[in-house]
Amino acid sequence: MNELNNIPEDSDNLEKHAPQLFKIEKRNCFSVPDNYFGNLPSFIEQERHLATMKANNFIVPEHYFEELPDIIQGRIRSEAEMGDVPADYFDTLADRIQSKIKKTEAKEVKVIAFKDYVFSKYTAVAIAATIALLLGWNTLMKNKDIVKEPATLAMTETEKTAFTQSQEVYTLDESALIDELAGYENTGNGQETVSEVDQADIADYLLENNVDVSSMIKEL
Amino acid sequence: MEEYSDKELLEQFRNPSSKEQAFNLIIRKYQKRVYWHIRKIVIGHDDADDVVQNVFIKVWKSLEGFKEESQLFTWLYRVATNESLNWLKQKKDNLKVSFDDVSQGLSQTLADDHYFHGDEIQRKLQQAILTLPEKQRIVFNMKYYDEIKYEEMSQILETSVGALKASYHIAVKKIEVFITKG
Repeated sequence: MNELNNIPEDSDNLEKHAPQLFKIEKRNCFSVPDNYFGNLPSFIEQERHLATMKANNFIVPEHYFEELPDIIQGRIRSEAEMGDVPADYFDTLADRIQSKIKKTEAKEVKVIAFKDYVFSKYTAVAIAATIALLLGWNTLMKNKDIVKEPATLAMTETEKTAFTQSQEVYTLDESALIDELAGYENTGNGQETVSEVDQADIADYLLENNVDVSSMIKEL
Repeated sequence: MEEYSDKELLEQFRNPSSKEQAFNLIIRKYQKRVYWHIRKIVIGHDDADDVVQNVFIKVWKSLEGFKEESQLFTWLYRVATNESLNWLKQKKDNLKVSFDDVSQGLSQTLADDHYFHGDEIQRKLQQAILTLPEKQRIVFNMKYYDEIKYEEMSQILETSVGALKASYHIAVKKIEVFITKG
């Protein structure tokens, strides 16, 4: 370093190397407020207390920070594994799906048209019940003159029950019949329910089969 | 008041029952020297007051780790120097200004300082000193005003004696030119 090499041995001699500076009186022209140094220790003490109070007073369990990195890294690994799929998952996925489809198709139940299903299985019951009612009604009407109201009073309890049940038939109307059919639910195996059928389908059936429900009711 | 040696003060400081009392005595023993060292760097009294308090709070926190490889006084000077330089750096960073701007700011502080009682030539000398780079200014003040030996200064500033001599000599030459021209 040139600067270092050029430093004279008597560099501290200001009179020789800096005569103007040498002439200036060497004194401290700065001052401090009155009693500054008398109060400074107590000011510093106050500041020290404030600094202590500012310190974090919360504590953590012992060895918390030593263990924290491992806990975080363990959690990261765990979450990463949860997001993974088994080896060859996507390689075999297509085959597994196709295999499942084949099994499902083999098990698939025969699909029957709802109209056929409902009217083949339950229409016979309904018609039989209707015929039975008609026959019962005709019998009742034929004995109309004979069976008077007072006779009712003479009926046995069994007869009364049968009569009351037969009386309830009169309260049925066309819509009630349709509703009853439509309201039937087959909940046994989760198959399609009657309630899911549009009433229009039932009406279609009645029309297609020339069932005159109005005249039938009138007959009743 | 009885003045304890540094060794005695450090022993008392390491004893929990006498720690606070020992710290108070350390402040009282060194506060003026530390303050004036800081004041010549930051110039304004209020700034010097902030820095000197920060210095002693740092001393409180780290004195237990002081290994007595150097004198307590030397160690205190080093803490004070570093804290003063940090203060200047923060001032530069906060104001986003250059060294020259900080020097101008310090000159203005000097002009406005109620606690400066020098005459015209003294004020000019201080302005000349403020034109020096920070570390050169510190070396000049320590040698010129505090009359600290180069060997001791070398420990405080962790700089070789040769470099300190050169730094001081250059500072003297610059100041001489400033005064002569003015």
